[in-house]
Amino acid sequence: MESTPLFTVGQEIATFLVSCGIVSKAWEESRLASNSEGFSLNEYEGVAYVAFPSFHEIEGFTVYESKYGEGNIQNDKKVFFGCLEGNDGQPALVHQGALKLFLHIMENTDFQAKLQIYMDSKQRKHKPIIFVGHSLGGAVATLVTLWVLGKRLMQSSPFCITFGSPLVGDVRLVEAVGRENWANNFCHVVSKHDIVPRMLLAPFESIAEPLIAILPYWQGLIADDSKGEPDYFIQDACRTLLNNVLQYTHTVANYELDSLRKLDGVIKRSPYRPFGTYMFCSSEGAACFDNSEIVLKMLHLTMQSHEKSSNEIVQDCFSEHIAYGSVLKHVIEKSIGGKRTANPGSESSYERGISLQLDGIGVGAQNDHARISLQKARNIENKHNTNITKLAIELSEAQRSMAELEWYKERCEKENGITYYDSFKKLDRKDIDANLRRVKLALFWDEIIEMWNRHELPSDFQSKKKWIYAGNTYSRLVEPLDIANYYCVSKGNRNSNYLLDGRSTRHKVLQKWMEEKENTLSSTGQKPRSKFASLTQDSCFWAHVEEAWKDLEDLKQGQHQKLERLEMFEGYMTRMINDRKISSDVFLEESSFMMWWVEWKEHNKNQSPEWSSPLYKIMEIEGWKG
Amino acid sequence: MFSFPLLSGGDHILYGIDILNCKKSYSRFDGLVEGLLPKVQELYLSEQRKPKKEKNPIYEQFLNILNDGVALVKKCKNTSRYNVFQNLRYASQIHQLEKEITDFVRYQMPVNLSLDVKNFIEELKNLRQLCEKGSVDERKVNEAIVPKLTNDPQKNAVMLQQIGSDDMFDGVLDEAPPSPKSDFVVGLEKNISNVKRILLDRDVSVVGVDGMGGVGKTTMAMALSDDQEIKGVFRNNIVFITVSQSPNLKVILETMWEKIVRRKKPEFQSVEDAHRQLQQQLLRQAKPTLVVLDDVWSRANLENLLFEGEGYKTLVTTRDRSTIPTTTSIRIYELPVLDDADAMPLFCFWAFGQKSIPSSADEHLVKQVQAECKGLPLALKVIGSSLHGEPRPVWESAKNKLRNGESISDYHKEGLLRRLESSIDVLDEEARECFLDLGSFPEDRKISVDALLDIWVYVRKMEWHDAFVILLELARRNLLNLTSNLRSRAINYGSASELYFSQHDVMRDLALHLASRDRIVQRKRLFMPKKEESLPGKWEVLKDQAFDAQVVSIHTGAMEEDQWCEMNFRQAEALVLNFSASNYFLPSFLSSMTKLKVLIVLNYGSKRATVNGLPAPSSLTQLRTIRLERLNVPSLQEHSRAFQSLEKLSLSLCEGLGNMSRFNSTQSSLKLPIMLDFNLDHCCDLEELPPGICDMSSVENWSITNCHLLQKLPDDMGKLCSLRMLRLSACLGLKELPDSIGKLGKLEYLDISLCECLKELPEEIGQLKKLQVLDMRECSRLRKLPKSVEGLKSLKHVICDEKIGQQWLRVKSSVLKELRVEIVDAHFSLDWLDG
Repeated sequence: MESTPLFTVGQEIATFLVSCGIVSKAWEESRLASNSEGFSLNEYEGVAYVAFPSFHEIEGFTVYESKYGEGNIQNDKKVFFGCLEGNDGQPALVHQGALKLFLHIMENTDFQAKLQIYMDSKQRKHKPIIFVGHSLGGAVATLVTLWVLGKRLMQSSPFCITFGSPLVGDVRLVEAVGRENWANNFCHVVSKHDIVPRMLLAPFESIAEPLIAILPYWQGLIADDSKGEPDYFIQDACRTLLNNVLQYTHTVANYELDSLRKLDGVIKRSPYRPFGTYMFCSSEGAACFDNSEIVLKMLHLTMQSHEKSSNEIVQDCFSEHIAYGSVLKHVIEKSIGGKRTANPGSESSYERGISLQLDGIGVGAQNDHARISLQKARNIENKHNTNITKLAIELSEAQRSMAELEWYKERCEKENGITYYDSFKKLDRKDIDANLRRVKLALFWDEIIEMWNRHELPSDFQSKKKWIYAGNTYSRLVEPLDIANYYCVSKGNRNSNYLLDGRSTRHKVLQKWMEEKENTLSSTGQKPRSKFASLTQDSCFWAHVEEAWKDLEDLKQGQHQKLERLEMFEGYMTRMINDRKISSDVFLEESSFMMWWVEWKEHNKNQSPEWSSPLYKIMEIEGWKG
Repeated sequence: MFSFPLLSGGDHILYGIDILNCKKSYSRFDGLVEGLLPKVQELYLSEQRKPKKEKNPIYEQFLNILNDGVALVKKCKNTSRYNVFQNLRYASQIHQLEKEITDFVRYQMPVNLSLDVKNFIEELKNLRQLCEKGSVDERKVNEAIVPKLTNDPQKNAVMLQQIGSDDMFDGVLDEAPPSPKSDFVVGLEKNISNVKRILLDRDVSVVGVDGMGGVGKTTMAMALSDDQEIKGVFRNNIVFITVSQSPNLKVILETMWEKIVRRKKPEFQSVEDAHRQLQQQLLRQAKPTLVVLDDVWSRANLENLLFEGEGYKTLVTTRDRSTIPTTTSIRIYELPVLDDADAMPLFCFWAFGQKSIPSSADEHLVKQVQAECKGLPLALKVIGSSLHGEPRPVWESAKNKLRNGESISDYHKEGLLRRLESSIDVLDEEARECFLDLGSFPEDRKISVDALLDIWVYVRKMEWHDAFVILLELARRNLLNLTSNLRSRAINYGSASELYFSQHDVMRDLALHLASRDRIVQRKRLFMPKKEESLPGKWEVLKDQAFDAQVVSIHTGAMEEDQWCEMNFRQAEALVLNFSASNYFLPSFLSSMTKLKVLIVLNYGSKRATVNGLPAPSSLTQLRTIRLERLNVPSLQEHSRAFQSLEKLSLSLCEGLGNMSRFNSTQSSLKLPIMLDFNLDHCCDLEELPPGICDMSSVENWSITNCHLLQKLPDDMGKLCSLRMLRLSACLGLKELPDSIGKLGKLEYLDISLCECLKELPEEIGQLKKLQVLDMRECSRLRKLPKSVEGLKSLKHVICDEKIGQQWLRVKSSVLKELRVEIVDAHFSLDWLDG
């Protein structure tokens, strides 16, 4: 079922942002910071503004190690929190120039010390903090914000506003930000013709030379804010730069939305991708976009203007980069003036909204190319949301099967006195019926994971507690049955090992998700358990027991090398009991584990009557009862 | 610092004088508190069992007051009578408490009581309304309720209510898990606490509870093993073992070893060996252990199960006092029948679904009938529920019949059965015959209803539907218990394979008792009342004679070829072989049973049994139906031709079918010429059906259910051209239906519910012109209907879930106007756990 969204709010957000004053104030702050070393910190109306200066020298921008100046976000010092990696598990790439500046500020200034009072967890009333920056300063502000977000302070969530910032990170960073649901903490203001936000889409070699020529002129402009006519030489450099950038922007932006993920095509394209909310400003007004792919398209489309002569564009490309003050002022006037008429020919409010957005950013509602790509991306987003809603309903149905299996577990223990794991292997009527539930649940979770792999779920799906915890409970309750089923089916085949080749992807993925989620919570610190778990925490526990059985049999046959593995299992078991991570049904008399234990103990006692081990001590005093 | 009561007013001075003999005042108070406390405790406990919302805090308050009183009395007792001040203070406190209690009883209680009564009446009205409305919709009742009716009126009432509110799922999860032994224990509390006291006595090692059948011994033993105090002493070393009439002592000893010693058991040579080893182990072990041996029948059995050991105790229940030896450490507790005060609530509960006589009933008559049950809980239950909802004349005649029974002061087994027989007397001739057949199956086991119906249909020559009606009647009269796994419509098409029944041992005793009045050779039914090593000696003696029996039931353990003795059962039309073992040799006399129509082989062991000794193909030509349960299916190929008259083959929980398919691909196909009914259920290793299986062109009912590994149906399924019913419920591996399904021109009922992997229906399904009912609930991967369903001209009823339901409704509105689309939610049930 395809359904279209009812409306878009891109323009309203932009109107709100400019009229609430924060953006203007942020611009003011970043202007003031341009003379400071490293950063400036000012409080205004209870909000702390931390501003970073735009770059002064080309060194800030030029990186020759790679084609686009990209490099690994994590250096040896591991400044950033570990979660900044793509869905493939590889660390994100960021612009090394910006990273260098960021590290410089972190290490060589009193930045961390000054920021401390805002991040102190003992602070009763925290102040909101906004990182701002213009140009390369914006890129630094972005990195600083990521760094603070990575600390996961409960009491503050920093905000970031940039003006004409170059792109910072690659698609992995976009994925990481999406996963963590941080995109809302970033607002990038981009003027219609500003060249800097697009610059890194071109390879470094094609922009370095003209840039060096233009830089002094720019700095002059920033210094006195006067609009002197550039000389011919600079104009020429500007034109070259613009042409190069336009050309590369076109290649990058016009790739099919899906193929953007394939990083290594025939021509190596710029890895940088935008993230966060982008506010595009033009003489017509402003509009916001937050979909990375759309923003990329818009970065291209807004630049292509047919209304102005190329000379004028060249002029605007450079003047607009430093003229955000007047750009903002204009947008405020526009929004207060309230010229908001859309093409009356449009049918739905949604289409009108799109028209308004395109008008606002100066692309023009008539631009079909822009309109179609915008609608396409919106539809995908909308579909993701529909998918997740459907799944939520299915989850509630799946919970019935979970409840039934919990009863199954309970009944096996209470009535038959055996664990549900061992009962399942008997394949009596109720065990076969339990298998029905097991298969149902497996199908459900397989489907979710398939959808996730096909990118059919919202990007922040993985950080949603509801799903992570539901998945985790599922694994703990049902994976023992999967293990039992595995060993039932592979009956007699001694080479089959669940841990090596039997475990299904769904359990692996769910475990990975859970571990990632737990990592993000680690700052609060987990208390040690005081009671035994109701479900064994390691869902693979029974597979370990099965393997220990086989090892023990081998050992009795004289394969002494298995002893080490058995001792490892004993150690594992001791840890599990000591941490109380095990559920007490494991110790039911007829459980596979208890049978193993008796055999193992006997074997060792036969070897040497004084044999003892930590596990032996626990088992002798029935330590699991306490 | 206490305020001195004497100084605070004249009133105090008055009882201040009384204080001078303070002891008297407190002893009066003591009596008051002691009298109230147990009752309030009971009230409180019963309140505790309710869900949180309905809990009335008032009983807790009251209990607290009383507990304060107890503490005070205790203090008082310990105070010297000369400690005047202390005594004065206590007396003042006693006075205070006394007043509180009086106030409580005078004001609080009646208000709460009337509130409770009001709620109760409200409930009752609701219930009655439901009943009067014909419980929502008659069809709904017939289809949805009847299969689920149990013999527990309370459950039924609850169920009716749930169906009325159309909200079966609500609240199921909120409640605490019901204790597995939720039997009604009215009137047993006193006995339970008595036995508990004896049991916890240091000097007692064995407690024997003796009483007649149905007096509540098992209920009490279960309640005891679940009792908090008992659990506190024996912790989890409580073992409950049902010994029954025909125990396999070795198996029981093995179980005991596993549960008490908790180590892998050694191989025992014999019962004696097992007993010796376990005894040694117990002497070494010395920890508090309680073993409950329920339903012990002979002293010989018991002696093999008694052990000594430090802290080791045994609770034995038996119907026969002589079973229990008399030594100093053994106590016998005779469980009395209920007195009238306790019997009435129990009787009313079963007869009316409430704990007192309803105003609409004739109180005198009810009391008379109840009195005839003589306080026997089982009789109260059976007679009460058999009179449930019956008009006055039935009550009258029941009363008279009960009166004419034996002298009632004599509570032996015969007396009980004679009394219970009154509930058989109300049955008509046919139903009584059917009831007697119940003796073929062991007690307290879940047996597929189809097995029973097979006997009735093929031996009693009843129509299937009539047989089913009788089954429902027996269930209604509490003579057997019905449970079902799924709400199935298949019953309308002559299959009850998803229904199960079980019977109480007393009811079975009754059936056996009534069936064995004639001489053995002349009996129409020849049953082994209990499991034995081999055939009963009484039968073997008569082996040269020809038995008249139509139905023969044998219950043994593992059997070898030479353990059988040649019997002459040439008249037998039904043979039921019950056993629990992993190896079994079929009796040699099987091949001489030329009239045999029904063969039922049921294994109750935990492993699938291997069966040997199939008779020569030339015999058994009359065989109409075969039912096998928990077996490794013997290869039937060579016999397939011999089973010329076979109409029905049912395999449940069987393994080895995988072999059958592999074997068959090279051999000629499985030809079963006039088969009508083919059932495979819970066959967990069935991956593929043998190719020749579709040559059974006469099959009308085909059901393959709960075979999770089955990947694919044969492509030539279209050959089954006589098929009327096809059930594929819960075949999780099925990804598609064969296209040739369209050729099943006579198909009326198709059940593909719970086929979770089924992604689409073939377009050919539209060719099923006779299809009337399609059950496709919980086919979650099935998202789209083929266009051709519009051609299902005879389709009357579709059962499905919400998603696909919308599509059916569209079909209904455009083409199939007569269609009934029933949208059901995913079914939540725990019935399957009882199996």
